[in-house]
Amino acid sequence: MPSRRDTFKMAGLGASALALGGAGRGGQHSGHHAHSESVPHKGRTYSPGKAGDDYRPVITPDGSTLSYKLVDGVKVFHLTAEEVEHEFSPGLKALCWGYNGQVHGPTIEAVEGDKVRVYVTNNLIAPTTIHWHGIILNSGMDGVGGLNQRAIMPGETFIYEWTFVQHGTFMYHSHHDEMTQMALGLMGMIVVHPRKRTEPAPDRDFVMMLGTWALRPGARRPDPNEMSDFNVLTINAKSYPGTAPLVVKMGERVRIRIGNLSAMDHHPIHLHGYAFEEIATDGGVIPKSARRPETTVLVPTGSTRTIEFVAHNPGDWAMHCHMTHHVMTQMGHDVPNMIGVDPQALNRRISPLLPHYMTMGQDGMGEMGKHIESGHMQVPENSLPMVGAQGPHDYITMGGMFTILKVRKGLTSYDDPGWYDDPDGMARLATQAELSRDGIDPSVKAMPHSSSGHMSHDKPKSNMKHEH
Amino acid sequence: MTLKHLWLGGAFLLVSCVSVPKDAGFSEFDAMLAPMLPAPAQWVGETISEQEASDRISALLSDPLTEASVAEITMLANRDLRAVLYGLKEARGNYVDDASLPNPFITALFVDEPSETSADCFGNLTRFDTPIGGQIGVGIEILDILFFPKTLKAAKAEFTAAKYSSLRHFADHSYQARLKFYEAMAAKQILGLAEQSYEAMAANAEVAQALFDAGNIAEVDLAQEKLFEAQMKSELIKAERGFEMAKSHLIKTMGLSPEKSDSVKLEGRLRTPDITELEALPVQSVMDRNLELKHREALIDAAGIRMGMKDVMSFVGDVELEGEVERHDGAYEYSGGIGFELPIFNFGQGKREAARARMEMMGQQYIARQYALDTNAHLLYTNLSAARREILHQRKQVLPLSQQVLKGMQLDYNAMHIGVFDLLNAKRNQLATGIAYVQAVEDYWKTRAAYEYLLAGGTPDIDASSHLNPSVGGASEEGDH
Repeated sequence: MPSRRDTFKMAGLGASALALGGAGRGGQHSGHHAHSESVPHKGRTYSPGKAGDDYRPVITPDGSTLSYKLVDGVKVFHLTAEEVEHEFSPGLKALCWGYNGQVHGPTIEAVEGDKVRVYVTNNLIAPTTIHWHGIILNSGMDGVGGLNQRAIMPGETFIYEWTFVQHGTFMYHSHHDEMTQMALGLMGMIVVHPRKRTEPAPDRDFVMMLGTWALRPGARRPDPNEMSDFNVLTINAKSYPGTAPLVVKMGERVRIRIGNLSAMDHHPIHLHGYAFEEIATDGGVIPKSARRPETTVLVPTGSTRTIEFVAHNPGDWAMHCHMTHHVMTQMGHDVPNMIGVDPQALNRRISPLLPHYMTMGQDGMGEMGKHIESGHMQVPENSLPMVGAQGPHDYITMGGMFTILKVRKGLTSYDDPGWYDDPDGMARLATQAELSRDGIDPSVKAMPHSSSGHMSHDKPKSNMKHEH
Repeated sequence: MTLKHLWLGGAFLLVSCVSVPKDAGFSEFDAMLAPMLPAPAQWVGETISEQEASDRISALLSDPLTEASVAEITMLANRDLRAVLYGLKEARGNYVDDASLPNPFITALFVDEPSETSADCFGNLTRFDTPIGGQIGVGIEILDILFFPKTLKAAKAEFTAAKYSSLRHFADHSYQARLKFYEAMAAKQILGLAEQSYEAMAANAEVAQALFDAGNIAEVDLAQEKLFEAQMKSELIKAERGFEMAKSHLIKTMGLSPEKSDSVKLEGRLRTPDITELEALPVQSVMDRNLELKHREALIDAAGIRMGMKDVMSFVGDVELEGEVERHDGAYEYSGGIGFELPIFNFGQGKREAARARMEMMGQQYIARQYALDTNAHLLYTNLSAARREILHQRKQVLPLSQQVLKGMQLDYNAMHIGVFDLLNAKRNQLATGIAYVQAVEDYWKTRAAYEYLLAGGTPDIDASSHLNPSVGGASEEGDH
């Protein structure tokens, strides 16, 4: 009698063999399957997975999940590639390419073992294909134009068909003239839930697609020819303050599936207030023994990363790419460095020539958003300030690939609960009494400690010299 | 009645037939000038005194110059124009001279014959006194008398030619002054724009200096921006030089004295052209009014008359009628005679041939000028149409777009899509567009001045009509009168 562990092992091996079969002749496994299977697939069919019964549906902030219909046990999806006017954030719209009227395309959600049929209609002006990124399937369905199929010409509808023999987080995107079509937005996420749950199901299961765009302020179409100077950085094709917050109740298990199909960039996504575990890639589930706590997950382009944590820390927590230029929006990257110059002298010099001139950037870019929001500085129509938006206490000087995790006690809905008012207090202006109490004299230049690391319990001396 | 009485009577009759207008046609001259000048013609020393002219010039110079004041100052101050007036007076004098019968040539001979001496057989001389006698002779070129009516006509035609020539010089000076005024005004505007362009690049360099001082750019970057400033300074120096030259040319054309030159004020900008559709080119009117053709016609008329005279005179040469009164031995003796060349060796065919050739030459030159005028009139019309289209294009397209670009760049700057260097450069580009517009306006006005001058009877230098040559040569290729 095989033990439960043996059964699992055998099932795994069997699944591996099936996966090879299911994937056609493309597998190159050597006894190990890299992708994740929760049930055996060889010779097995499963009834279509049902939301609620077999999985808790994912949430795609600012996006949607693609609906399907069941036809003879097959989940039938329909994607239509077309031009879409998309709003990245209030004030910035562009003519992009997307699926089913949205950018990016809707999330395809299924359950491991589901047989799916995806119709793809091309309503673009150009040929296209769709590649199912990370999905194990037979080569003829892989969607690489010219290699696996001919391109879908404008007006044509192609059919793709396969059975999911894995679970995890994947993506789909155009694989014809990729540089152009992906730069214009032809991509989306795929989430395949395990047929058999091996880990606790998340309470909140978010899906995020990271993207980069080149959109000149005032222009109305992203520039696919740009190679490095991207100025609109997005989560689910939204740029902060256009990004919807992730609203979570205290104590909920939160999963965030992050995909990256940026043209040229990887994104280290940092979450404030939490340490999380990276539990999966688009290659499969990471064994628990290999997981480690993180506060930042690097999502390389062309891959997905799934993180998970329990929301035990209430508050408004920033979540953003830690590449600092990725939390800015439209700005020129060849502007001169004005830090430290005297603005008054330059204003006096230049204003007679250019009455609307005002020196900017002499103390950084933080004031930029305020200037624009106050209305005294106009910017091109259809453009975003280079930094974020007004927050509860001041201007949030981050934009672009930035969103907010909102964790609250006692939420009755997942509507935006507004700004968090921290009962435990917040950073504030120090009082003179506090400064005196702790021996802080702001007028005295702070000096580094000696390398001994010895802490002084005396009041600091303003002219203390360090000897090395 | 003796022959003498008949001759004297005839001469008196001829002289009394010659009538030269008192002002020798100056009033007609003024009338012809009127459509060519923006102000009434003034003749210093004739219609206005020297002091009045000086006062008027000072008064005009107390305000910024205009096209009209430039024309008036030119008339009052320009010594070349006064020379034209004296040239005309000279022509009038010549005409009056030609319109007078030739004076007879008088010879008088007094005879105080020495005592006659005779020697006797001894050799003694004996003096015999003789009485004092005399001869008075009157000679006159008979052909001068016979051809006097023709001479009169020829002189009138030559005076007419001189009038047209003077008129052309006069009008051309006024036209030249107008051109110089446009050039000077444009140069001043361009200088203003060049100053702003320089200011933009100077500000650019100051920004670079501030950035360098703040440690934000390298020395080579600062040097690069300073180089831009230095290059723009060169452009400014050129513009300053251009303005000074244009102003000097204007002063020279107006003919101002050094003392008055300092008072010249050029302010404001070139008038905004009131662009209206051009009417069709009135070719016939241009031909009919053209002073150069009229001048040539008058010269040909005069030459024709004189050629007819030459046909005869070259054959018969001089024919001289002579009369003589001689007193001899207390008695008067009258005698008369005629003298003429005997055309044995020279029948005058050479002179006739030369005269005919000259007539032919003048005829061919006249036709050539007619053709050239016709071509140039069409060319000028085309140029003015093009200048007009250019102005419209600049106004409707270039200037608004330039403004839009700068405004857009300002918005881009506000959005920090571009930096201050780009913004200042955009300003400089806008100023360059402004300079191009000023040049287009200058071109338009100069072309229009040329066209109006053409319609009024002038012959502007059309070969360089787009940017008319400062040495407009309508009146300069003369030498045929």
